[in-house]
Amino acid sequence: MTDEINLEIIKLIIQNWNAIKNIPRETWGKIRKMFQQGNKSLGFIRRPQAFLFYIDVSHTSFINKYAKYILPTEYKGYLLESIVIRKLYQDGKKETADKKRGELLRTNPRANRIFNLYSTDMFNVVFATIDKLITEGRNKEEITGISSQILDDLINDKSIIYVNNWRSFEELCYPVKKQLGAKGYCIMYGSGSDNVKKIKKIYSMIVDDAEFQNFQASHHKHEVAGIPYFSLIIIKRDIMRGLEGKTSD
Amino acid sequence: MELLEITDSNIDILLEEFGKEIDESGFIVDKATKEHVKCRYTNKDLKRDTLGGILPGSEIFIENSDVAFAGYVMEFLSNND
Repeated sequence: MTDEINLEIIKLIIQNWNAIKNIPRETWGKIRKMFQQGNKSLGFIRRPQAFLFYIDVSHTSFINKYAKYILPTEYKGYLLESIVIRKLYQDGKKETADKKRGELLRTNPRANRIFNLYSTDMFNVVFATIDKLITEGRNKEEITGISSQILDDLINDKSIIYVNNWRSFEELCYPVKKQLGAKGYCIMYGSGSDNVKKIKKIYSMIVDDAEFQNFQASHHKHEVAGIPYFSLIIIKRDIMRGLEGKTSD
Repeated sequence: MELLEITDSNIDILLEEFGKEIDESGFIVDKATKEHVKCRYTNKDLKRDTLGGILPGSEIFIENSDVAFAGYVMEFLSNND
């Protein structure tokens, strides 16, 4: 069907929307054909304003730059919803945010995981890597492959070091150095004052020790049920450069 | 994208014209196969009251939830070039 015919069909549907029984079956057949061909000129939706809101956020948020490199596809939606929820919390709209978070949690565990990774800034490792690969001039397939592998590691908990599991700063240094050498980044997470001290020591080591001059560290604190949690993200400077301030709308 | 609102007064005709019906348990099913229609993004079986949208990209049925809205927008309406 040509664009002109499609426009006529859409016009007919809109004009008769409040008298839907008047729309001939033949027209519905054409609409279905348009849908099946992927023509995105028309949609039927229960809450149009809410839907338009998500379209607007997707086009104006930083996610617009990164989404095409993130797989599997369903993660993109979870990430967009995480961005919306985090902003609601930042704006003090806790009740709405909690409700939406509950919906995300009920969707599936990975949706909740995406929210946790984004709200603790751990997702920045993925964004920073994408930025670096774009700068290097890599093609879309390469960028998608590498960033999806990093995201998969984060989702499946293969690249986060839980500080509470290590008895001392000295013990903790080994896996940190090993991961920095292998992956170019390291994420640590811990709770309680003893573990926070270990994280602070690691942070000081990265900042002060010449051995780590090519790395940059950022930390994040949040509370769950009154208990403080800390995360520390260490990442190679050439990966991290230019990311700050771009990934929190 | 022109958006037309699904309401209680037009949903039955919409379902009918898209080849769907409501089974005895209240679920939306395909008329031909009798299979439950699931939300692409939440994987939930849809009922008349939980249907949130019928959208292009083939014929995509989604739940009336923000997660489903976000999922569709990111898959089909964001910058995926």
